[in-house]
Amino acid sequence: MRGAMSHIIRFLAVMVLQLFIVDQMQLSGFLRAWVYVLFIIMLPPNLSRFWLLMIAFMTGLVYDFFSGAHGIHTAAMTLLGFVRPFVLRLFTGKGFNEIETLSLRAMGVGKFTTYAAVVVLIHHFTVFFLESFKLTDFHFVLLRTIGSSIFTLISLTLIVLITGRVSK
Amino acid sequence: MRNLLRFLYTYRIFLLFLGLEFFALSLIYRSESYQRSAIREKAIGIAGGFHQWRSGFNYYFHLRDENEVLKAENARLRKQILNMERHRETYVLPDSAQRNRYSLVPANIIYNTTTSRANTLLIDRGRLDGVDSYVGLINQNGVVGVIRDASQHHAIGLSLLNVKLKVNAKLLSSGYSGVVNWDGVNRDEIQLKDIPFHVDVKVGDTIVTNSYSQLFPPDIPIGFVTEAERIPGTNYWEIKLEPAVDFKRLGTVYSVRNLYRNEVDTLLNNAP
Repeated sequence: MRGAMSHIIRFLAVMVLQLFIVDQMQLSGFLRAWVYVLFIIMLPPNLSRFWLLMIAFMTGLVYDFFSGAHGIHTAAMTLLGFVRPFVLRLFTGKGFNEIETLSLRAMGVGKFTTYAAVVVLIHHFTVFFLESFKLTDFHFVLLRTIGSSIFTLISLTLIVLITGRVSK
Repeated sequence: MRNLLRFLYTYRIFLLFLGLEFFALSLIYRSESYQRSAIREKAIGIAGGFHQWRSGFNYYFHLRDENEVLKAENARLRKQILNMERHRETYVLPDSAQRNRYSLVPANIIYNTTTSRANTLLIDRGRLDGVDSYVGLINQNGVVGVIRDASQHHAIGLSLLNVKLKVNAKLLSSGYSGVVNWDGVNRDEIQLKDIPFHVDVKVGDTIVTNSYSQLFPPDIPIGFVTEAERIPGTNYWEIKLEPAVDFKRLGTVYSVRNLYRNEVDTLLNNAP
């Protein structure tokens, strides 16, 4: 129960951070950060695939509602909810679904960062692709994905450094 | 039958995933082909309330700048009134020219994006204030966007930085008409299309709204030409504009309602 509480608090914290601060600094179309992805990154690995999918879907829906993006983030988050177990398996090996919480210390900084980077890249690519929805703009989609993913990862690192921990 | 059930069971997560994705994509699609619905109106109202509360913090810090802008505009309008009064002594204007054609409602921008390809904005006025779908938004510098839908106290619009928005425009110098439409790449650069190559276009020319548009009054600035090149193999210019409005700093805007819009629409619909 305490575990669930910490996830709910993290959900509220990243949403507030995203909507109040990150979305307000409109640097450039090539540098956009979606730090709310941290919530999905940190969900417990032993969560059933059904609930992971539903929670990811709802998270996208909530963000879309407030940012006025009409389903783009819902689609991207649903995809994340579906592929996260596969991504996680790449970095933690077979017994991943027995781990209760993901932590930087247990996974190692290198592995954790790569895992986060893959999740962020998938999410950002989907968002930018759905936003343009044209193959002629593909090089812009790629440029935006790379620039923004780096920006998001730097922001996530800052958040982790400032709060001092990502999970208990 | 049992095989089918087993199949459904084995792939239940994948099927759920497909279902949810389908729902999300239908949301995207529905936002393109747009219809007003009660749910949507409610959504604008709730999101509007949230953003109004949030922008309250920002608004406070920009009061000084906002005040300067309004003072400058006030001075400009006062000057215009003085000029008009001088004219009135010499000319008697025909009746119809004095009739009001547009009504302006001032509003504050409470949410505004500039980094997406389809940038939207939210204002704190809605249908109760006379703001409805398909009215233009301008500020003291020029064209800001178009309202797409309104709830009772809020309205959501497309900013000029939205690939879906096309605005009728003309060159102020020669009067030739084209269409302004952003290509979604650089927010400091919007595109003017359909201007034939024989027209004289110079860097620095002003592009304004034309009188064909039912959304905006004529001669509202849209942008200034920064670059003009001939599109290879065609007889048209490719013109890049610097927007007249700074989209990163939007405060007070005016929603412009064309009071004769219904009349014009009826005429156009009944035309053979």
